[in-house]
Formats: sequence, structure tokens, C-alpha cells
Amino acid sequence: MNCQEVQALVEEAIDNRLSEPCKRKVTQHIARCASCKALFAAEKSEHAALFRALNDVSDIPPPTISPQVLATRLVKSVPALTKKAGHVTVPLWLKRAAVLAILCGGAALAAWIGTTMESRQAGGDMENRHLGGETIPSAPTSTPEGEPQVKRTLLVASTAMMLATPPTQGASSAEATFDSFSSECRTSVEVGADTFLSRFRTIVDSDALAAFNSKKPQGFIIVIH
Amino acid sequence: MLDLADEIRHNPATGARRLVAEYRERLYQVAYRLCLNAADAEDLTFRTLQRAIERIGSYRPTGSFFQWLYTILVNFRRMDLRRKGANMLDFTDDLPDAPADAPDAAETLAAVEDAAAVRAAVAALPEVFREVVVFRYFEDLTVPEIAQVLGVPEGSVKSRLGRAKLRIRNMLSGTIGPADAFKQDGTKP
Repeated sequence: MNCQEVQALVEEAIDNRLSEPCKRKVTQHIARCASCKALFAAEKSEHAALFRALNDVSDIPPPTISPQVLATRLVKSVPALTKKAGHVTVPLWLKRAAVLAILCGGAALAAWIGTTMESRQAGGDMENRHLGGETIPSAPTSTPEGEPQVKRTLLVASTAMMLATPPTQGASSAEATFDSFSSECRTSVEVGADTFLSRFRTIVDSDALAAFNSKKPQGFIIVIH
Repeated sequence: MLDLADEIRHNPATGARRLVAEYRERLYQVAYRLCLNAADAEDLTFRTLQRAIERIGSYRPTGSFFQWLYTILVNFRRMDLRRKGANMLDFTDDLPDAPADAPDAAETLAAVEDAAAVRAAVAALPEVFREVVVFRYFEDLTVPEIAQVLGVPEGSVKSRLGRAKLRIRNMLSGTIGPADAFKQDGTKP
């Protein structure tokens, strides 16, 4: 290391932020370079003098507003935040999941409408119900060709739907409803559309949402009749 | 105990009280060292805390909470200076390098025991230098931390620190007066 390189590291040296190999090199250089040694000593003294002088706050007058009054003014000055009191801030990942889910839901709905139309035309009455990646045949009917058709399947990310509807019920009951609903969706095969929508509206609540957030599910598939 | 950011999100009233209790005094002191008067410092502190509450949702705990507050404070301060028509040269690094015949630091700053004289010299600095001095020596931030707060490269922070100290030395050694601290970097008037 030459003098210029060593002198460029003086702030890091004062903060003791040099890596061990670098520190060794600087120390070795200073040991044999009088001018760098003097500069480092001067910089340290200067640092201490400035630190001492600026941290003597006797020249700073105390603020005129008391902490209590200031806090009250601050809260009043941010009305948007006051309105949000008690509500959960929706994290970014959840917002993204919501957008994705809405897109998926739209696509699935379009597919469902399409298959329904085809099914009507074909006169078939076969349903497959999808849940958790499994395909579960329901009615023992089949298409004329004997092939199963995907019908009335709607992919719903529950988080998106929860976000879309305002809260309508208390926290504990809402959470319980959500848990049982979620469990039902995972274990049973189907949920009627009316049931889904009615229950869905009851699960939207900030505390339930917070509980849901902590679990961070990936969403699930609901079959709507 | 809730994290302060979470507390502000969930309960603004208690969160604001805690924010004021924990950060107001130091923020105000930093603001005073930058603004050099109590009224502006109080106003700057209030707006900083207000913005922190408003934007608490965007706070990411990558650095310290203090650093985040300082970034807000610095941005408000710069906006104020621009409104007042402050010379934008203060915010550039186009100033010349320090001359080779700068006074020796050991002979000046360290020898000055008069803290008021040192503070007066710091107060006489252009804001672009004073802010790095305040964050370095009042707040004891490291060069990378200052760079983050000010939104400039570390090299700029080091450069400004070096030039600021040179001017302070010159003022303390009587080479230049406080009014001359605003002139060309380190050169004699």
C-alpha cells in the first residue's frame, strides 16, 4: 500500500471497519511512514474534537412544543392513518397474489363458461371437481365419448376474494368461520356457489386476515355449482 | 413489545407518542445543526415525524429506523433550500480539490478546545458540507451510512468530509473567516 491508498482509508480506520488483512497492511505502512502516522493521529484528534464540540448541545434551545402535544398534533395531522386504526396493512405479496388470483379466476371462469356451453351442446352431464390438485369424479355420468370433462371449476385464491369484500362480522367468529371454511374446502369435494359467497363475506375481517397472512397459504381450488 | 413501525400501523396514537419519545429530541438536534435556528428545526422535525407516520407502510427495516428518518429529514431540508433559492452548487461535487498547502490538522482543530468556536466554524460551512459533518461527527454515522442517508456515493461523502474539515481548519487557524468558508474550497480569499 502506498501513502495515497492508506490515507484514503482513514475514515474506515477511525470507525474500525477495516478488514483484518487491510488493517495489517495499514498498520505496517504507518509503522514505517512518519507522514501517514502523523496524519492518522491528526485525523483521530480532529474526529474527537469535532465529535466533542458538536455533541455539546448546550447551544441548542429546547423545542417549544411538549412531546405530548406534538404526538397529538402528529396523529391529527395524518387523518388517513387515523381512519386505518385497527386495520391491517395489506402486505405487498398479498396484493400481488390478489392480482394474480383475479387474473386466474377470470381465465378459469372463461374456461368454465366455455366448457359449460360445450357440455350443453354435447348433452353431457359429467363433472370433475378439482381440489388441491386432485381430480375427483362426481356424478357417474360421462360424455358420449366417455372422456371426463372439466366443468364448473373456478380457481380462487381466497386472499384476493377476501380483499375484495369489506368486513361484515366480528373477528373471532369470522376467523372461526374462515378456518372451518378453509378446512372444508380442503377436505370436502364441493362448495355451492351461494354457500361460498355467503361464507366468504363473513370471513373478511382484519384479525382473520392477519391470521390468514401468518399462514401464507398458496390459495386453493373451489368447485362452484 | 411491538416494533415501533408496527405500533404506528396498528395504533397511531400510541405509536406517535412512542415515536416522539424515542426520536424527537435527536431529530430536533440534528435539524437544529442543519437549520441553525430553532423555529426551522422544530418545523423540520414535525414534518419529518409526520411523513414517517404517513409513510410507515413503506418503511423496510434494511437500515436503522434513525437512518430512514434522517433520509426524510434531509429531503425536506433540501426542498426548503430549493424553495428559498439556495445555490444549487451546494449540492454538486464540482468544487475543486483541496490545495496541497492545507493547514495541518494537528495544529489546528485538535488544538482548539473551544467547542463553541468549532461549532461556529461548522455552522459557517455551506450546507452541502455541514450535513456530512453533522451526520459524521454529531450522529457518528459511518461513511456508507451517510451515503445512504444523503443518496450520494461514498466517494462523494469522503470528498465532502475532507473539504469540510479543510475549511474548518482554515477558519479555526484564522486563514479564512466564516464568510469565506462559502468561497472556493480551501483557497485563501
